[in-house]
Amino acid sequence: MTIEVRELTKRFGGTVAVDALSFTVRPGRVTGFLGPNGAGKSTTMRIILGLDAADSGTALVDGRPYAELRHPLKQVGALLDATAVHPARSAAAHLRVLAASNGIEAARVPQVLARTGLAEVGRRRVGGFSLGMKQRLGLAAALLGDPPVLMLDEPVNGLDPEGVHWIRGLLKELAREGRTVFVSSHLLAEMALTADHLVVIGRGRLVADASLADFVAADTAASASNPLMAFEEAYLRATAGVVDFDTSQAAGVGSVTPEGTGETRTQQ
Amino acid sequence: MITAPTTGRAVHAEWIKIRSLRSTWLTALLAVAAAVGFAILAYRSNAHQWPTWSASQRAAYDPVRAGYAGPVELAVLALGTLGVLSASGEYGTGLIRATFTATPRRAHVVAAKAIVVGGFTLVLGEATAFTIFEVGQHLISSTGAQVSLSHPHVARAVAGVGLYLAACALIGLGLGFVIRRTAGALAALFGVLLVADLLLGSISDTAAKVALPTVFARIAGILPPSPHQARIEPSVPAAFAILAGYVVLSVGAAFLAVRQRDA
Repeated sequence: MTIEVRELTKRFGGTVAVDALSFTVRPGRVTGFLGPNGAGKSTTMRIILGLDAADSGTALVDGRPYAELRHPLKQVGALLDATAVHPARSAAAHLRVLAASNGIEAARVPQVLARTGLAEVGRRRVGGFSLGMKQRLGLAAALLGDPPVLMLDEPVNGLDPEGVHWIRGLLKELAREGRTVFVSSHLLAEMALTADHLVVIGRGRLVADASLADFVAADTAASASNPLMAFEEAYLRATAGVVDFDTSQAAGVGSVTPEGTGETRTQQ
Repeated sequence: MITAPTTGRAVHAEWIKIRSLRSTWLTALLAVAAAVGFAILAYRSNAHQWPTWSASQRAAYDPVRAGYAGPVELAVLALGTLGVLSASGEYGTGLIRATFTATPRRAHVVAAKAIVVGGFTLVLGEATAFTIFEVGQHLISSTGAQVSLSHPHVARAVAGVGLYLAACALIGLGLGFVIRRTAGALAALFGVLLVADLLLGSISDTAAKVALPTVFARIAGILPPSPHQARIEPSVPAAFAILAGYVVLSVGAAFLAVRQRDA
């Protein structure tokens, strides 16, 4: 099952968030979705899920618009915003709601809670969860329908090192099972370790659609001997023309801010 | 197209949502207890003052409306808020995106919420209206003014008050979907429920007839309106039609709003 985005365009007022974007996400591998903050990654994912309407172009899952899927959670598992849960509802009740809406048997709820390490806290209110626990709950929701396609927006945010390690293994395992795994992130090191393939966008436009190795090899100016540094150099050069702000004046290219994003907003 | 199985699953999901929140049950308990409690105080006061009333005062006493006007409006606010929150709460937390991702045909979500919120508040509303009636008539039995359920118009008034409560929750639900912010939707709901009669009454007597507080007064009473009231109150069938009109407008606007906007 593939995700196919063709000539997708979305404007918010006068701003073009997604600009004639085309790419295909294929099964059996982890596809990393990279780009600077504000590049349009989340908007693209929301359009694929039918939450936002595109101004033009198409986004298809298995050849059909998402909104036409009969039991969408059995076909696409999505994690958009882990904090988007009702704080007073228990984790298990949150998942039971989603299961009921798609005709998924309630017995899946304890299974996905166990798979995401939440078996002990399923009956606790989500309001008391850390961001990392909410990310795990979001993943549990995505896995609920045992879907062939997974679409995860920044799933690593808020996870501790053990959680990051766990999710890396989980994503690779899901891809090995033949699923289509599409993961956005701005953590280059994490993508270098997890992704097999990359879709890089900037200002809503496609910058690169290549395997990790090809993406780095295509950067002929790469000077770093460390593979991660080479990847970072290639990424920064590829997106240099499409960032809305200049990092070099603020903190030096490639330096990492306390937020871990490596991006600092300054005046041009 | 709304198909039965999809709507059925969406209804099941919404039912789990509403019952898995403690606030639902606290709100319900508060609404019923406050309405019944204040109705008891009102009827006890009526029974106490009855001997001092003149014949015309006694003739103007509506033994059914006496327990509803005031006390039930507390329950209206509580259950209306429940309706608002069941939509605006999802926009506030962002949960609405998970809901629409699970059920991309958004009309099903609105329909399911309307069925669950409407059904839940109808049961509460009828229970409240019936309890107030039974307890109240017992409390005023010393006056001889008490009526039974089989007395003309009484069953319509009791059932109508329960229906009015459910209708207000549905109006709140529609406003929650359209306005999406809890504070704004609540302000709009309270305006419609509490202030509209003053506002519309200042325009004209005809305008006053479509104000919800006036509609409620007509539905909740069994006495024919006085000449003065008849100018500003709708007939009973018109009152129910106006109430239905509010629900159709509010929930109808919700269907349009979810279809056209990005979530």
